[in-house]
Amino acid sequence: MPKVTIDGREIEVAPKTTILRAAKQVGVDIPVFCYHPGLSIAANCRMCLVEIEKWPKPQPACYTEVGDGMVIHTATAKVKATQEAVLEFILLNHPVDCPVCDQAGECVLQEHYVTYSAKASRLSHTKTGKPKAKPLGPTVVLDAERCIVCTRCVRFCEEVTKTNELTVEDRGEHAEITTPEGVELDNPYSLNVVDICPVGALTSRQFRFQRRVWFLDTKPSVCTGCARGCALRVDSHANKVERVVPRYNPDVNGYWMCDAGRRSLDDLRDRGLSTGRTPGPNGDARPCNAQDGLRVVAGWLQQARLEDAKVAIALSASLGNEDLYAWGRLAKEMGADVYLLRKAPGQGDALLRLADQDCNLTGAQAILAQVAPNLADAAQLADGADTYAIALVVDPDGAADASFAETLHCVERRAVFTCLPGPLADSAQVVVPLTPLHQREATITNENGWVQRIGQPLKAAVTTVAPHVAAAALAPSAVELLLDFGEKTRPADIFGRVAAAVPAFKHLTYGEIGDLGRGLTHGGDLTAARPRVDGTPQWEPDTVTPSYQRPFQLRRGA
Amino acid sequence: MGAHAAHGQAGAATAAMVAAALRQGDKMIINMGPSHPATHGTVKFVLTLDGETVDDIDIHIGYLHRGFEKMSEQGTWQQVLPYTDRLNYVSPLCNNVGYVMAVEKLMGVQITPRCSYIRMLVCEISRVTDHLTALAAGALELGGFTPFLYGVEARETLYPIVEELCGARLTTSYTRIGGLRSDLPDGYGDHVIAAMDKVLSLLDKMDKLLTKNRIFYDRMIGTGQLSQQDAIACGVTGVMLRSAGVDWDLRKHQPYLHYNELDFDVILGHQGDNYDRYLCRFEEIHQCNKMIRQMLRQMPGGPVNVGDWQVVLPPKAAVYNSIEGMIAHFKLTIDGHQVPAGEAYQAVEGGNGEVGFYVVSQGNGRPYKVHVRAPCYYAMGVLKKLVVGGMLADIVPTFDTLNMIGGEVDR
Repeated sequence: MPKVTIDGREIEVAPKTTILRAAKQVGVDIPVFCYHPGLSIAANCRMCLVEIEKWPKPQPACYTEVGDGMVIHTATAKVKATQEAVLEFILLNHPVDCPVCDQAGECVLQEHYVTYSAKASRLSHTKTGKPKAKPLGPTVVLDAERCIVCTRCVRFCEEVTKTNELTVEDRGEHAEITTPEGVELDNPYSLNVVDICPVGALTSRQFRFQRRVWFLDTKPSVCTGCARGCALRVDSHANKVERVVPRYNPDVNGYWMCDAGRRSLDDLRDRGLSTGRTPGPNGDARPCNAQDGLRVVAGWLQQARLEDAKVAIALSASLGNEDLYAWGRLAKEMGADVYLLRKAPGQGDALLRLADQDCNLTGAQAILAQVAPNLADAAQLADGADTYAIALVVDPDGAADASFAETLHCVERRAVFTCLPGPLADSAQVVVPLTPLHQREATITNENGWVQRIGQPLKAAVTTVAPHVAAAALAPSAVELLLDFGEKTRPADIFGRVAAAVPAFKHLTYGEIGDLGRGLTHGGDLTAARPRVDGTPQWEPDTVTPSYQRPFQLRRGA
Repeated sequence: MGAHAAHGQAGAATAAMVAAALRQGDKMIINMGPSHPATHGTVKFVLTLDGETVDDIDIHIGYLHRGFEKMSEQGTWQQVLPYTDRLNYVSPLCNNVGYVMAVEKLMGVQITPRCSYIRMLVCEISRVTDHLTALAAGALELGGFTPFLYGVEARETLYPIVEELCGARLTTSYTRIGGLRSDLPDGYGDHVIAAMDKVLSLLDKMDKLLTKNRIFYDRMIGTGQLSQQDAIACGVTGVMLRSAGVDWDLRKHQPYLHYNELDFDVILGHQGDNYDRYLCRFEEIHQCNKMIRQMLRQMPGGPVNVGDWQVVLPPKAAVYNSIEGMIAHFKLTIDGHQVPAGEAYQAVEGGNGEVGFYVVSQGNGRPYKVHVRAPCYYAMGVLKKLVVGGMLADIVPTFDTLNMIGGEVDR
């Protein structure tokens, strides 16, 4: 194991470790532009040059591997002069765009310039002009003047998506990112180049000019677009989603996420239900809030018990773990049959996207198998649908299609619990508006058995109800079930019940899941032991966190 | 009684005091304030009187509490500055100077000599306005309307000087971390000299009307007396401390800026009563005058701001025409000064004594904590010793020479 000294701090690191990573381990920050932990090393920006004793010239820390006995200095006058020169060079042709640039406030160039240079310009001639606002494809726009030609985007398209849409054209100050003739940057992961662009050269056509970044509320969350469950960050303003970006999670998605996942919250924003529907006194439909809808359904269930009528409950595999547990418990108490609703498979690929569109299928199967013994696939409902007096469908985001809605037509009383309008909601007598996953605390389990917290990036509308709360309210012994869940039916408490009832969840607690999630137990093996998605050692990404976003920590006295 | 209960802790103390007075039977309880012509400042005294003698006093402060210290944690380091104007608003420039010096101490910033001199200059001008206010209001409250008008006219002679400097009479916000909002305007020295000449002539008139005035003298001498021991034990600073004969002035004994280059005397009283405090303020104005003239003579040239763009905003030409200036401006404005993690305390001699700023940084653009050591707060703590046993009417001159400024006490 080579032993190195970095700025007077000695550390023993694994062979082949680069100076940059070794420095990180001793808490020394070395500035970088072109280096990205998820990409190959280009060492073209020269921002990370450090001095190594007995070496004639400064070396790039991102590329140079440590050797035994190496003595490295990252803050000498020579290094500082190099950093200043690099920044002066990069800024030479950089436009005065900060006031109109979307990156301003989270720009690596801004950050490094004030930290490592803050020197005045010595430029006396006109800056070299380049194309501005040049669309590269349907999702991304290039401002070539702002580009520092770090080639992160080029490497992403070469190495991660392997689609090779981007390249560097021309040389020197005329070097420019571009697409070959007739080619567009159009792949399912194209927006990642916007995230990794250290400056404002690549911008998202959707987020462009929408909101200054310092007005965004940023909250960690998880994608519910497919069974992968990519960790993400929701940036919102006034409870409106402005931008969704991937969040590093070595066990799920590494550094990336797909474009469809980023758009998965748009549907709820654009079409989300905040009111439901109940039958009016004259048989007409009238709008209602969740509570009114639940009252009607509770009346149906009471009558069904008196008449000993059969009840079917269809649960979507896109519900949270807590929701599925609560509804499973409800079905068990009522003796109802449970059907699992699946979404139609989508298009998967070798990188992250999975054909399975249900964000919590693994959790649904594990939990319902324990708490709801009469479990069947929703397709099987078609056979005996007419034997049921009541059908309750809990389908937050449109898993059920029109044919399923038709299947239910023979059931006399149909209630749909959902967040979105659709054929199913249109055909039901009662529609109860549900609180979407991203507007409440919940957990989901991805296809690999990785349990993650959705957090609560957005606030819920008061007229909606969380599915697990709805289940508790409908239980025949509602009081008993509510007490069982704890008075406030907090997801953390219900998660405790899940862990107690379902063996795969046994070792988990809500608090321990944290921001990065935990794996389920599969016959004694933890999924944590499975290989990580990106294959690299755990290494935090070098994203710049502006000071206004840095976590506020309360310091306590002795 | 119900109204007192609303004040929580203070209410409980008052209730106990009132109950004790009622048991004794012959005592009278009266409220003075919070809105009372003689308490120039919003403060309430609940007095127990034995005839006209003050038997006990319960002091309720907090009517002007705005949460200054908590507000300071919400913005960037520089954005705290306008709040400091509103501490002791009679000498806001002293607060401006004290605050930025504390932040500069934490950042290790060395300001330019010219900046240092201008900061001293504005502090001394502020001290004169502060003392003039106390003297003029004191005369008014004892029935002397004429000296009040002279004092306020003198103050009004200086306010345009302050306004010329920073565009505001009171809400100055003149200092910047690493420098000042702007250099002195052209011909400023002459304007200051002319204003000070007028202040001195008006002060002379006040002197003639008050200092040997029998009525004024009798009301001031021997009233509101503070012993040296009490003054030191209670942390009293400034004129109140010096009038009791304690030789302590931060400008002399912990010199900051370039005060060690100035020739001035620390004015001391000997018995710490209202008359001593009156005389001390009077004489300190003369010392300020002496220092102001010295500073204008010795004023160094050169820039007022440090050249470092990590500390001071770049010139506008650089901001609008170069990306370097643009970024520096942007980051200083949006993210704020990147102050290294740590804590610092910096005190300056304000109008009423030691104005101290204790600042804590967690290494980012916003203060983690800003605490103000307000001299008036300690003066209010010692007020009870000054008035109990004295006459009710003596509270008026005593409270004046204490010169409470609500904005500073309550913060």
